[in-house]
Order: sequence, then C-alpha cells, then structure tokens
Amino acid sequence: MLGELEQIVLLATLRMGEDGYGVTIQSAIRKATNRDLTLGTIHKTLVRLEAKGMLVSRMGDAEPVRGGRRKRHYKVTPAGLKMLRASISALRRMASGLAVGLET
Amino acid sequence: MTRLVLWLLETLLPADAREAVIGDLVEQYEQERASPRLVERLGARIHLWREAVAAIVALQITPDSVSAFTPYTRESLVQSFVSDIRHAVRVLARSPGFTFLCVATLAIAIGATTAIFSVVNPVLLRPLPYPHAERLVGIYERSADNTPDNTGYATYLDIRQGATMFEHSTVFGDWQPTIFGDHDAERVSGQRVSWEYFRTLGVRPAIGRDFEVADDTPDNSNVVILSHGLWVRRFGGDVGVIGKPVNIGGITRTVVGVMPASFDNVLDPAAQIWRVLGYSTSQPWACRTCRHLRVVARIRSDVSPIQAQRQVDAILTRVSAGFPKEYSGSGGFVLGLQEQITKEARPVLYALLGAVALVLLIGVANVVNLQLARAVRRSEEFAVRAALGAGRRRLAQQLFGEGLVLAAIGGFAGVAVAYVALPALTSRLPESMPRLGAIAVDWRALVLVGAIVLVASAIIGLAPALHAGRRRLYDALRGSRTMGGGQHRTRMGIVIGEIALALMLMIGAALLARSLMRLLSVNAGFDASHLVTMQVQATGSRYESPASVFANHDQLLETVRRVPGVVDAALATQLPMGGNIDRYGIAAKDKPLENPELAPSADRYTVSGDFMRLMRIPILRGRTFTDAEARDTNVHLIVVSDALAKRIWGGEGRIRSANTSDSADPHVLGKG
Repeated sequence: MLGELEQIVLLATLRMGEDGYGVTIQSAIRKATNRDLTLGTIHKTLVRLEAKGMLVSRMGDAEPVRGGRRKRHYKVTPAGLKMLRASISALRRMASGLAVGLET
Repeated sequence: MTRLVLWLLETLLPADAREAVIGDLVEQYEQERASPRLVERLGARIHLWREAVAAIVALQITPDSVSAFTPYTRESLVQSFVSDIRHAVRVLARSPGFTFLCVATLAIAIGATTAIFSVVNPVLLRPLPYPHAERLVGIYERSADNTPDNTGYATYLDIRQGATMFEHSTVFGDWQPTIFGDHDAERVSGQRVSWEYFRTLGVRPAIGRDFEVADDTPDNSNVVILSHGLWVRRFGGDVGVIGKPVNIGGITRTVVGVMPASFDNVLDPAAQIWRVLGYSTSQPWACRTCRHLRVVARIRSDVSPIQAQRQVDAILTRVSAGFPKEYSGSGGFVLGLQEQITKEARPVLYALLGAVALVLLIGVANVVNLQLARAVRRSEEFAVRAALGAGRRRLAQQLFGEGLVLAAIGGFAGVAVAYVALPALTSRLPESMPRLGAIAVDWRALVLVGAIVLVASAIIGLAPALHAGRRRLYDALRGSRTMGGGQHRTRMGIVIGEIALALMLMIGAALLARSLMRLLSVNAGFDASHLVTMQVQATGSRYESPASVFANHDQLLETVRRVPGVVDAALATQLPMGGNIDRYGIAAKDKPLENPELAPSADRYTVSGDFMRLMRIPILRGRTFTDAEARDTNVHLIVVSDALAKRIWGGEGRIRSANTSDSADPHVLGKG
C-alpha cells in the first residue's frame, strides 16, 4: 500500500505527464489539495519513490531563472502506475456502499 | 542574504540532490518575487529560508537511495560528520580497554584542570561581584616605613570631607558580638560599618532597609543588618524578623534588614552581622591614633585612579602636618580593592595553573601515544578508504571525528570529576583564601573544557594521520608491517617528553613540601604542640566589674582543666601569629620620643598568670607575674620579648619601666 504522501506525490507527477519536477508538482498539489508541502518534503518523497521503482528521473535543461541549474524531471513508471491503480481502487472499495455518501 | 542561504544549501545538501533542489528553490523564490500580489512578494525571502531549512533537514537522512553506497565525494558535510561519529563510536566500542584507558586519562587531566581553573577563576579572572568593581579602592595611611596602615575615625572624617573625587566612602572595623537566644549564646563574626558601607559596594538588603545617616550616631546606632545565612540559621528565615529586638552582647538591638543570599562580602567573608559604627569624635576610641578601621571608597566615574591618589595624598599630608604627633608618615595610598584582596593569593594560583597545565599536557600526550600505537594496525583500513575515493581532507576529517568522540567523552568525564572533587578541594583551602565562596564549576569552566576538548581532538585525532599518509598506501595494501620505524621514534619521543614534564611536576612538589616542613618547624619561641584554642567572651551586664570577670575566668579555667586529657589551661587576648592585631607603641620611660607615633610597636598580649608556663616560653631574665599580681588592677606589669628589649634599651640588660601608649607607667617585670 502506498502512504498518503506518496500517493499524493505520485498523482501529481502523473498529472504533470512527462515533465513534472519539484516546482510544478508542488503547485499541482497546492491547487488540488490546498496543502503547502515544502520542496524538501516533495523531493524526499520523489527520491524514495524512485528508489522503489515507481518513478524514473532524468536531468532537464538549465535555466537562468534557476541560476543556471538544471531541473530533475520525474515520470511515473508502469510499475508506479500499477501501484497507484491498486491503491485508489482499494480506497474506492472501502468507501463504496457506506451510507454517508462518500461516493464521488 | 540570499547568498547566505545558497551557501548553506550548497554545503549541507548531499551532492546528488543539490542541483535539482536548489534550482527548484531558486525558481520558486523568483516566481514569488515577480508575483502581482504584494503579500507574496514581501514573504518571498522568509519563505525561501523556511524552505531551505526544511530541505536541509529532510534530505540529510537519505533513504536507501539509488546507489547502495554514498561515495565520499558525494556526501554532504553533515552526512560525512554523522557517519564519522557513528564509525568512531563503533571502533571505540570494539576496543573497550583502550577506550577506558584513554577516557580515564583524559578525565583526570581535564578534571584537574577544570577544578583548578574554578578555584583560580574568581580571583584572577572575574571582577569582584559588585557593580563597577574596578572603581572600588581601599584608602590607607602611609606609615613611616612606607607601608599602608589602617586609619582612625578622626582621620577618616578628614578624608571624607576633602575627598570630592569619591562617590561614596565607608569606614569599618571588626565586631565579634555574642547573640543571646532563649536558650543559648552564640558568638558570630561581624563588622561595625559606617552607614554607607553597602551603598559604597553597590548592594542593598534583600529585605528591610539599608542603614541611613541618622543611624550613624552614638545614640541611634543600635540597628543591625543580618546576613542571609544568619537569618536562615538563627531566625528561621522569617520575614517578621524586621523590627524585632535582638539581644546582642546584653544590649537590645533592632534588626532592620537582611542581605541577599547572593551577597559576597569580600572584605570579610566570615561576617554575618553588621551594625552601624556610631562613632563621634568626642569618643576616645575615635581618635586619630586609634588605627583599627579600614576605609573603602568608590571613585567617581569621571575620575582616574591617579587623580584620586593625588587627592588623598594631599589630604593626608595636610592632616599629618597639622597633627604631627599623631602620624608617623604622611600621605596615603589608594589601592584597587580587587588587587588588594587577591594580591597575596596570586602567585600561588599562577603556580597552580602552571602545574595543572603540565598535567593536562601529560594526559593528552599519553592518549596520543596510545592512539599512535593503535594506528599501525589500522593502516589497511585507511588504505582501503583512500582507494574508495577518500581524499586527504576526508581522511583527516574522519580522524578528527574519532579524536572528537574520545575527547568529548573524556571531557564529560572530566567535568564530572571536577564537580565531585571541587567541594573536597575547597574544604581544604584556608579560610583566608579570597573569594572562597565564589568557587564553582560555572559556564566559564565549561567553555574552557569545550576548548580543551576541541584542541585535544585535533591533536589526538590527527596524530596518527601524520603517519597515515597516502604514500603508505602501497605498503599497507601489500600487508607490509615495516612502517613502524619512524613511528617508533615519535612514540619514544613523546614518552620522553612525558617523563620530563612529570619530573618537573615532582620536583616542584618536592620543593613545596620541603618549604612547608621548614615553615612548620620554625622556632617561634613557644611550644605549639598539643595546643587547642577556642574563643570565649564575657560580655554584658553580668560582667561589669573586674571581680566578676575574674570569677568567670577562674571557673572557666578550672572547668577546662578538669576535662580528661587536658594538662593545663590559660587565657590570652590574642594568639601568637594569630593575625589578631592588638598593637601598641611602647617606649622606655627614661627615653621619651619626640613623636610618640614613632615608637616601635609591639603586639600586646593580655594573659592569665600561667600563660608563659603553658606556652613553654622561656624567661631569660626576671620573672613572670603571679596570679595575685594578675588580678590587682592597680598594678601594671609587663613582660617583654628579648627582641623588643634590645630595641628599646639596647643591650643594656637592666630592667626598667616603660610607657605604653594607653597606660602609664607599667613596670617591666621580665624578659622572655
């Protein structure tokens, strides 16, 4: 099972397609969940997910706004996608049929 | 400011995360600064700091990252430091004997250093515990032989009147009152002080009030202030003691204040109670020649000590010119109070510091030697590390980390040793040692320990490094054991150095011991063996008449003589070499002096008849008084020492009569 933080980060990375990196992932999370995660937390999670094989990263372009530093782009791997699906459907199954109206 | 953040991030983040993370942070910062919303623009910098701290903390402990082993070149400073410490602890735990030996050596060396430093600190380094203590001075008269002398009350009044350069001044003397409780009487040490005593020092009573000018007259002077210790001990710490009457020496006095517990009375550490001096010039003991008082003053902030000295000199010169028969010298001294109090102790303390520094050196050298011995066996480990990419700096860092762990443990143990040893040490110090109450292991001592630990870590840690250079790599990898040569010489050199230092310490100690033995065996003219002394007092209305005093003395001596083990008992007003000064000028009756103040002064002992016999003082000529003569208040008999007799009468050898400055016409009875 994925942890809550890992799940959020994975989803945000998925949303960003091929080019997700620290800043864009952070703003995607903020828009969708209203939570302000620090870049440190996000990067730590990204590295952990990569170590588990759910993400793969590549170095991108340098940009002047970043002081000439390159970005590290993350992409969800098929294994990661599989874990995500399993995790979300597990949640759905738990929430379905409950009278309190948790269905989306 | 942003440069500082960036530098921190570059230094403290692990290498593989550096570029991407810092880049993201910078991008975020620039985005916020360009934002149309004012709130975001203003908060951008703080936000950057918070993000930076969070990132540094979050990314230190990298999870089982992509590569199984973080190569040396890609570690951050924090990561490498932490791993060094962990490794050092493991290595030390593997050889407990070695570790224990090193820690014990360091504990003793550092502990001794800390303890001695704590003793020396209040005297040598810290100022007196009063506000602007550097402006406190003692004022003394200059006597004929150019030494500082105490003052009489009348002289003090002259000084006070003319001394415009002083903010406050005070005059004080000893007081040994007996406090009468319901069931007991207790003798305490105290001081009789002019009303500005505490104001001059810059302290105030914690409870009640300070003395005031109205108190300092002969009629009103029955007010006292208690020390915190006396207040707690005898009055139960009861705040209601203010205003209560207390029977002191048979006279009812009122407690008006209690000093705070933190008050350190450096002028007389044993004093527990203060009363107002209450002198006036009409009293006989307020005379100029009654030099039993000391003067302390606080110089104004806009005046230099030299100016103050000149003013006091001028005043005292004028006064002694006006009363030539009452002063032996002219002018005065203005001496810094801190210096005065610590002067005698200084050389001793410096010597102690020097000795303990040597002890520290020996301890560290010992540990270094042990490290070097062990380093030979670890050369392979270092060779492997070097092969894996650890540069010289990295290896040195690791060794420093190991030294740090060892030194830090030794430091902690040393502080513990000092805490335990310090009370034992302090209890053996003489009571006259200045600032005795201020001796404690305080933050300054801990800072010293910290500094010692850091320096020691560098020495202990890096000593083997001097031998584990990279050129030994090849030898180490080949398994050669022949590199001991140069190291052996170094270790021998260290041992020789240690023995030399230890020898220095032993010789110093032996010399001190010999001086002490010589001091103790000096023939002082009396036999001090098997003597026990105690202070007694017969005060109050019961003992107004001489007869009642004599009766009390008789009873006292008889009771004491009956105590098993006591061979003899006698009474005396002061003890030889006891530091209690009762001194009078004495001149031969048939050789009067122009200026009586120039008469040689002699310590005066008023004694019971059997004193000479008890102290085994030989009588060279004449005899000592009989008991009957001792009780006859009309007869004034004295016995003088041989030295004094020679001074007054030369070698003439005949016994005459003499004048002393308070009683006329005593007859000289014998010579001892």
